[in-house]
Amino acid sequence: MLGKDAAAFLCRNSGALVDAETPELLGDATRVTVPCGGRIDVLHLLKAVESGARTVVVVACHLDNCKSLSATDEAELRVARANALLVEAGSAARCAICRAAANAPADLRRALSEAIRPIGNRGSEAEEVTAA
Amino acid sequence: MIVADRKPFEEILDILGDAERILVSACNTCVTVCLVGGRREAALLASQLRIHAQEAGRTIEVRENSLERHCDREFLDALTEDLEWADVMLSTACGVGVNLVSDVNPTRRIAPAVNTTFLGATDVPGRWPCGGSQEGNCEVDKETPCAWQDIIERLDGQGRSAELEVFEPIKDWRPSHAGGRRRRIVEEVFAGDPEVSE
Repeated sequence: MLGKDAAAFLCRNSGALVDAETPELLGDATRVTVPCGGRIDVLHLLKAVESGARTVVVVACHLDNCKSLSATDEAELRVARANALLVEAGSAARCAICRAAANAPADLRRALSEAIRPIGNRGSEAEEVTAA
Repeated sequence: MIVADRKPFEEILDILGDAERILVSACNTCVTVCLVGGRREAALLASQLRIHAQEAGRTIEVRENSLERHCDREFLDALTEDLEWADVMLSTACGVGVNLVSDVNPTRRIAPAVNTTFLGATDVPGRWPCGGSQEGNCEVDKETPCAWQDIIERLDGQGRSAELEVFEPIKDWRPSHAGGRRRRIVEEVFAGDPEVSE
């Protein structure tokens, strides 16, 4: 479960739908629903960190389950760029991307667990997501 | 267009020193096209500076603005208010822009946030070629084919390499702006309109 120091950008075609059914997965994170995971820019991720988030998660569609051919790939590249800029800036905050589908909350649980574990190892206060 | 690379963040921090009021000024022309110094990249740099200050427990203020061109005096008046406020202005424009802004504002501290690298045209988005080649490839990036070498090889292939030895005549600039006001009327569009055809 994510704490108050987390922010989540949710694709309305996947992440937002999973969150509506199983809100406990994202816990107390601040949610922002976006039209598509590919619409997230590096600047959105950095602004979330500027606003106090230590963990920023983008919840987008699976590669083969997305209305866009490249949105999830683009989101992944932007998350990587944001992390590189955060490292440069000396910040311990980190961004991660999780892939999810509206009808498979277990996917999001697993993806969050995998994405946040390395963040936790770098000193974030984010807790590891455990299976319900 | 002029192509640039952003300076390493550590170098930018060294330039800024103890400055507390920082203006990050973007240029909307060449460096915007090469995705290094436009509004978006300036906003990313400004955000990085704020995050770095938060981590270091420092209080700084960072403003952002953008000009159509830093290398054109007529646009520089828009900087005046922000320049008076700032301890230092970080320009994401090329060296030409940084120099002109410094010349026009000799009492203000203007610093470059990018390294100006070369002149290049857009090959595909995100890739910009330049001159200078070795074994058919760019001197700067050995993976990039040299555009000039391609021209030579293409002419060779067409049996036209002798054309490279022909001196080109001096360009006739008379039809350009130097020849005075230009006017082109498409008769079939304005037929019968006495104001246009006069």
